[in-house]
Amino acid sequence: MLRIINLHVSVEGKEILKGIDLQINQGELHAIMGPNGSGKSTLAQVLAGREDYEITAGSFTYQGEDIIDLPPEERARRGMFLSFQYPVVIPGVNNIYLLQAAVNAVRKYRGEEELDAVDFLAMIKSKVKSVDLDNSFLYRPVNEGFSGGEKKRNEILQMLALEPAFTILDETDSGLDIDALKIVAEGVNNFRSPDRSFLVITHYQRLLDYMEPDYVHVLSEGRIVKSGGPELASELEQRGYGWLRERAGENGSTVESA
Amino acid sequence: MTVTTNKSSGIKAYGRHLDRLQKKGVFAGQPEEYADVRHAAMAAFTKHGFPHRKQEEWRNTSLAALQETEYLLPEAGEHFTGKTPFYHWADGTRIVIANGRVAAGLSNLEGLPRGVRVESLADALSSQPERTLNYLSKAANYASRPLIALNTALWSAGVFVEISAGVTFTGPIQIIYLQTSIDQPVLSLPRTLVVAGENSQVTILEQHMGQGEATYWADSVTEILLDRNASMDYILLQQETPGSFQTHALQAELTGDSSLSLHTVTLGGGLVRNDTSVRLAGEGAEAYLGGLYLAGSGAHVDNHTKIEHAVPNTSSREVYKGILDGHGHGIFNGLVVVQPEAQQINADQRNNNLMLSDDALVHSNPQLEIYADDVKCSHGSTVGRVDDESLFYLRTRGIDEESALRLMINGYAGEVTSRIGHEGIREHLDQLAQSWIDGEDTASE
Ligand SMILES: Nc1ncnc2c1ncn2[C@@H]1O[C@H](COP(=O)(O)OP(=O)(O)OP(=O)(O)O)[C@@H](O)[C@H]1O
Ligand SMILES: [Mg+2]
Repeated sequence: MLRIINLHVSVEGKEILKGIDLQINQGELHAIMGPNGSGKSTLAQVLAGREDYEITAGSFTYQGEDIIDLPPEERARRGMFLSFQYPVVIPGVNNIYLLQAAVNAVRKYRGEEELDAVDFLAMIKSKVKSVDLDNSFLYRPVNEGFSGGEKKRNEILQMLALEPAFTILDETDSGLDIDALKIVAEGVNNFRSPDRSFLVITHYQRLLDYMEPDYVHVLSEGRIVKSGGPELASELEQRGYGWLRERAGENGSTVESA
Repeated sequence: MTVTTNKSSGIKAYGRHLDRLQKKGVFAGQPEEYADVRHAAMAAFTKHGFPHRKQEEWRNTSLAALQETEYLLPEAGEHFTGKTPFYHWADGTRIVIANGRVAAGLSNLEGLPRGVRVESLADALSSQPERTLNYLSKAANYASRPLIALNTALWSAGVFVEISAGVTFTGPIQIIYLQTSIDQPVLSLPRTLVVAGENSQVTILEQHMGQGEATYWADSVTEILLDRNASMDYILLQQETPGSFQTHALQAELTGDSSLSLHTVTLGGGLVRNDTSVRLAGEGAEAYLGGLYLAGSGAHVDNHTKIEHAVPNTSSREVYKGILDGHGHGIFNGLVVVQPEAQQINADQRNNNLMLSDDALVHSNPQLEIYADDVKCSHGSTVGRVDDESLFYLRTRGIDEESALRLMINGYAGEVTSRIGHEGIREHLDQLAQSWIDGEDTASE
């Protein structure tokens, strides 16, 4: 599904990602954990097509194709979705308007008929309910005045509407209360299927308890310094990241894989 | 001949217009008392002359080009025979002034309910002088305002709307001033008087539009008077031609517990200068002022607003938003004055400008003048480009860059129009704004 090879990325002249290698196969859910500022969001945004982040070396392919030159909208139409760590407010644009425009852009790309307002509403209403939002959220400007948790549930709503093949969740669990975390995790779990893949960025083991990742990676200072199974998450929960940093330092740039 | 003598001869020429129109009987039947007002107003105009850039209020807008042109003031404009070029509602109430004449054929004043009067201001002045003079020139003081003075001295076709106490009419009432293209530049002097009685409720759309290549100067005055607990949605829509000048003074006076929602929407045009002044004169009065101005190359849109809190317990909220493209020029100068006795008032003033081009220019100057101490006032202004974060966000949802931009720009404009209560007007304005935005997009491609 996604293959990243020796990816180096600079932001405003500063190297943030320093050689990432990662392969995510169809149906797999990978988790990325790591200290603040280690480059997790940078990786997510580069994959989604952010243009002001400069790829200085390396490459990545999606569904077997090099997509580095594709604009973000084209990646989205091919089934990539990023749930933002900080969802953006779009003043004056109603949520339902964005959702319908997005769904129809993707449908058009797939050669499917675009949905009119009535059909779209019928389709979206059950999804709104499944993330425990009120229908009134459809008619409010995108993310305007939404609470932190509401924003994240709105991201999941967009995922459910767009039905992506590859989903990146960037700290979708941050700012969620315990019930909302459950709703989001269940939403994602129900959405999982043998042909859908996920990259889940999180700081907390709790989300992973619900989601059961196939692999857990630790990103530190722009490198994946350790990879393992779900048990790595609980180890990190207990020990923090300090021990990994020291080891990364000792071993130079060698990446330890499980 | 120097420029200065040119100017003063221009001013004198306008003075001669008054004598000429009077001799021709254009004002026949109007009360002697109002003839005196016309003369006093002309004297004020002659005394002050045109506003000029040395005056603080006119620092960013020059009327020099306007003074170089000799504008005709026909005693009766051409009859308008074309099709209705404006949007209107089937069976909707409307009064149309085309080329300076009431166009009865385009107007629809049938079946107005009791207590709703929509009529020619000149007719009202002749047939019911006392009733009319009760209100006319009460809010629009011409003594120190030469452009109001000029209109007061010379207007010949106008509109008088009066809503009686307790009456609700949200139809809306459409007032249309239409200028079509003729061979020579003309001066048009739209004059609107709106009076809302106690506990009345009304929606009014005042529309100014020029057609085709029309070059004209419209020097407009609108007076709005709200009696106790009256509630009004007033939309001023300006669709002027690129070769036109529009100077528009709107003066509103609010008595106790009345509420005015005023929306000023300017779609391009040549030079537009709006002097909008709202006076909160009775306790419990509240005003909302929304503004949307779209200016591309060739357009210069200057909004000067003044909100005066004259008494305690009044509130005002102002949101003006501009979209500037090409070499467009936008000016916002908003003044909120809180008089010493006006304690416990609320005032919020915002001006935002969205720049779509590096060549566009904006001057934004929100000001507070507060003489009371127990008040809640805030203001602010922004000038910015389309937000890259938002654009990226929309694109990651599969929406192409062009559509995402339009979505954002329309959303930005929609924040002003969404406050308009009348759905039909709101949708119409959204469409007009959208086609302007689309037009600008294709123009810059
Ligand atoms: N536009 C930018 N300009 C300068 N530095 C940036 C920019 N964007 C990101 N960075 C820097 O890149 C580094 C990585 O940021 P990133 O957001 O990817 O971290 P993260 O791992 O997601 O952290 P967190 O866990 O706090 O979300 C940080 O040091 C950040 O300050
Ligand atoms: Mg992050």
